[in-house]
Amino acid sequence: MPVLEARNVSKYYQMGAVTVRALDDVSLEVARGEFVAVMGPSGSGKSTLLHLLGGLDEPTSGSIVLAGSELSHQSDNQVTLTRRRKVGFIFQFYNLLPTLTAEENVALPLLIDGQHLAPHRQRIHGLLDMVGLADRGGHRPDQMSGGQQQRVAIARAFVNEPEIVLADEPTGNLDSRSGAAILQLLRRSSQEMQQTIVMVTHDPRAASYADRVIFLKDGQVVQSLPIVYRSGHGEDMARILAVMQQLEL
Amino acid sequence: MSSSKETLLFRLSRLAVAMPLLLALRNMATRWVRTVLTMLGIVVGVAAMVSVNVTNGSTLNSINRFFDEAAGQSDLLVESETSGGFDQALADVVRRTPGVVALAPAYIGVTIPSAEAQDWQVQFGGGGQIVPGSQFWLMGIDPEMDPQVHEYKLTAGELLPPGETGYRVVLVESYAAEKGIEVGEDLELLIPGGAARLRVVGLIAKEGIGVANEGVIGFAPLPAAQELFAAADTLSQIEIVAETEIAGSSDDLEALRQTLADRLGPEVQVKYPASRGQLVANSLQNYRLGLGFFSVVSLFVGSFLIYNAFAMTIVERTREIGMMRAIGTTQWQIVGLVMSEAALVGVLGSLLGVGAGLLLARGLIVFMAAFTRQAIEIVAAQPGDLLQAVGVGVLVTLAAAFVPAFQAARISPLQALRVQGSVNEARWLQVGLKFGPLTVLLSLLILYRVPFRPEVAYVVGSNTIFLLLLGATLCIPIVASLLERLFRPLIIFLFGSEGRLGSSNINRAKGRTTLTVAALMVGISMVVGISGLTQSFKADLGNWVETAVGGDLYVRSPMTMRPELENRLLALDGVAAVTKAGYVATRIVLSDGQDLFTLFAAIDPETYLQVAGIQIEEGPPAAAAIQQLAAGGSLLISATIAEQYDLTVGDSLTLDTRRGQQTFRVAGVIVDFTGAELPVVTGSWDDLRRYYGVNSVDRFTVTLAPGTSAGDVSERIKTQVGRGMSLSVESQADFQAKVLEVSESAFALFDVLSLIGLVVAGLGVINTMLMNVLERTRELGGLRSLGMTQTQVRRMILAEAAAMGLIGAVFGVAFGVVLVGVFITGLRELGGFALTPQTPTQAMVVAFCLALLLALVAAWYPAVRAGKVNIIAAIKNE
Ligand SMILES: Nc1ncnc2c1ncn2[C@@H]1O[C@H](COP(=O)(O)OP(=O)(O)OP(=O)(O)O)[C@@H](O)[C@H]1O
Ligand SMILES: [Mg+2]
Repeated sequence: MPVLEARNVSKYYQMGAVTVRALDDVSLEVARGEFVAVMGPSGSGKSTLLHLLGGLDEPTSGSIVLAGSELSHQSDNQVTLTRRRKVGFIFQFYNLLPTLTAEENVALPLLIDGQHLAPHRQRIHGLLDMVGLADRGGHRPDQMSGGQQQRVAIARAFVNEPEIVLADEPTGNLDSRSGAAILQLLRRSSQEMQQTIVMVTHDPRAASYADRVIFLKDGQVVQSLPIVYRSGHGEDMARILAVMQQLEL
Repeated sequence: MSSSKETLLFRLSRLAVAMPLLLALRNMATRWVRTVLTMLGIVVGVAAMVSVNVTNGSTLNSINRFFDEAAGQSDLLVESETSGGFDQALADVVRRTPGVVALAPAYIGVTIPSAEAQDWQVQFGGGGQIVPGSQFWLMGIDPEMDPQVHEYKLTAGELLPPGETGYRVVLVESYAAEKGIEVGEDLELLIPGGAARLRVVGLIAKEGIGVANEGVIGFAPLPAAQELFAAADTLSQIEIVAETEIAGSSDDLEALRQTLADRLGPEVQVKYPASRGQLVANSLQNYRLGLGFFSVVSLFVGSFLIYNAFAMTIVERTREIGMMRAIGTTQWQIVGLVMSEAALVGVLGSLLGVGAGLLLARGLIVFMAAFTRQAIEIVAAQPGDLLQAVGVGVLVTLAAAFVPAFQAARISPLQALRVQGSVNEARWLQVGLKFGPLTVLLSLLILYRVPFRPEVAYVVGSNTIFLLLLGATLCIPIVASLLERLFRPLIIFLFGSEGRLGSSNINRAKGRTTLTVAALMVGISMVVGISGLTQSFKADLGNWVETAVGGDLYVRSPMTMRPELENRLLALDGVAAVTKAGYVATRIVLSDGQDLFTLFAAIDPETYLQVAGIQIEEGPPAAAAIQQLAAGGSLLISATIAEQYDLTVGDSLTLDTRRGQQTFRVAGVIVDFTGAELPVVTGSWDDLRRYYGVNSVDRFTVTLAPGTSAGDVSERIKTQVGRGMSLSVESQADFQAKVLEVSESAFALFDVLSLIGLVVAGLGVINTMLMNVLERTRELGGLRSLGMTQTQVRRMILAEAAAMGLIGAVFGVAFGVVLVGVFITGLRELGGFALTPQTPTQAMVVAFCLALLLALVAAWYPAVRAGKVNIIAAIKNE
């Protein structure tokens, strides 16, 4: 059974007389430990798909399986608990609590879960170190750059050791070097920790870290491209670029 | 991990329950300006409640203490049924009654020192009662028995020796010092028919019996006092000390009281001493009711402000809360978060409010003391009351935060992910359209159309006002954009092109506009409502002084005046007409067997209408009504009594008289402020003589012949008629000024309350405008980067505030006019105080300008802050 699945999912927005089809009959299965990249032009429904997969919103039709269980018949509370314990989110726009320090923001999911922080201190530090912010733990969001804030949000997504990580353009704000570090982190977590990752991106280089790239256009899946990850990935990038060209993305 | 703060959060995380508290604390500390503003709302509400409570408590307490102390250890008091006094032989009956341990018979003569006769005037307090200490009491006592009942603390000379019967007097130290009299010197007093000298033998402290009549009292041997006032063998009162066991049990004491009443006969009353305090306490009743009402309103207003503040922080934190939800915070946890913050703010704010309230109470007590002309000592508030105030403050805060907490919980995680943290503005309009006008209609119906039993009227009334406030608030989003378009040209005229930007901003955030306007509405309506009430009261009082009191000069005397004086006054040059009036204290016997203290005011039907008029509310015209009084057995009653006891023309009313209970017919209902808050019935002079055996005049009212000066005639009265009688002559203008001055000081207190309303409104505006600026930091930064100067930004924000101020003014003035009606109806229903409503036109205009000014002043800080928005930070912040 797939960890993450969308079955014939559609999402429509009624804007007066016009119906916007943000997602139109999309089906997708993601296996445990798989790293999927989602690409597509702006407005093609990438974020919408990610939100539906994470149970942040309900589809107009179709069903979603998150962490092995169907969402449509669950209460808000149940979905929230699933999200809290099994899913890590990285948003397109970084979302930190402005009143908390970097370290506290990373610890927030544990705090919300009513956990004692002391045993997790090692890991919180490790995560901050991994995103290159070991010395910024005591800083507040307004004392950090956009990219630094984004990296704090990434550290936060991993703090509860989630089965699934959903990332919306996690490297959009980053320079190529720190971007590469984040992508390495995602790659390793899927390979070594068997964490399932869905990442939205516009960047073919970022997409080449994935096991599979899905292409969306006008709310529909138009292509699914498997990738064999290698360390020198110029070849993969070329294939991705080729598909993008072919789809006029 | 370096700073101690984080370690605290980490360390305390073990306590799972502490999570919401920790986050709330952090949030409060970081957004401290907002926290302080929210807290101030609670502080103001709780402070108003506490201060009113303490003021009431202190006032009552000092009245009771005053009578307790003056009454000494006495358990019962024998007093004459009428003002005349009773036979001294009754003292022996009391002495022989089993259970009586000690007794203090006394005769009290009321007079003034001869030296003050020249310019003496009787002083009235705001309640219409004679101010204690404006006349001198000469208390004739038994030097042997009295100290067993009263406490004398000698400070100089000696007390009256047992058996003393001469013209000796003991004075209160403070009074003697004020008058410059020392032991061994003589005190000269006016007595009927002349003056008398008493040798001062001792001074006592203003403690114990020394506090009676504010210390303006002297103690002389009983026979001497009786002789001086031509009252041989007459007593004014007997104070009685009962056996300890009897005094300790209210049942036994009541039995003793009954026994004494039976033995002493109908000529006297046997009472509990403190019941004299009741009289003053009664007269303060309405006043206290008014204060209590305002403390409830201010708490409501406070809760509204708190709601406002919380609703606002929720809007501000939409994205934050959405993000929390996205990473797994449940809806209940969000509710918990908001409520924890409310609890923290509530506890802190309530504690501060209690402190502020105690301070405020000191100020209010000064007003109260001026009003009653009594020295009021501030009592330490009861810890229970303070605790209760904190409890109410916290509860109100929690209740006010409840709705915003649930609004917060309904924020969807997706709202965090949108670039624009948008709130559903249409909802405000929908809810407003649906419930606003309906709620207003419903509450107006309840207020004016549904009769409630008096016991619940207060609760229902104040709650309905709150409902009305809510309804008016819901109507704001419907009307606001309409009004905005109406006022826009004015705003553009005042603020230029930034005015256009600012003014139209009002339509962007309906929720915020609504709350700002609502805060203004509450404050402004309080100003208008209170002014209307004050104005109505003053207008009625002024009318009454002019028509009902009538005349040009009032002649009074500290001594009794004979009716024959009327002819001598009439004979004077320049006097056109004279009428006499007398007052006696009596009781109305109600159908349920209870009785009510009242003043019987006697007028002379023959001459009354030549001098004064009557404002008839109900009944025949004045001349016919007076005719009926002349026939005897009829009364005119004040509208206040009529309302309170549901009496109308033709009904009968029973009074306790010297000749037993007597039933009178109600001949008319009139406007009457004679006793202010004491009930007054007006009867004829003949009935006063017949039923009360009184034949002395308390006041002559004189009308001048055309073209004569009041000063000249006063002079003539004093020199030609008043020689040796120490008459006081007061002109109508003086009297009116005095009455108005007294009511002025009473209403100053209400001005303080409207000031509280304005402060609350100002806080509300600061809160919303600040919110406004914080929420738009990014946008303001953008405008600045496009080249808008700091001044332009400031002007834009101020223009927005001005637009809100104008809309708030419209709502506030409208709601204020409704409040005037409600207050006046409420006073009639609850206090039985009938007033003619006045439209406070001037106050409405002032309040309108005040709203605009308040909005601008309150928006100043937010506007400055908006101008100082850091462009870089604003753009960087997403
Ligand atoms: N709340 C909404 N109401 C109406 N339309 C919406 C809403 N949210 C998204 N849409 C529409 O759905 C479509 C898909 O939006 P989505 O945010 O998923 O795009 P995206 O692929 O993430 O684009 P980008 O790369 O720019 O982030 C767009 O056309 C958008 O206008
Ligand atoms: Mg997107």
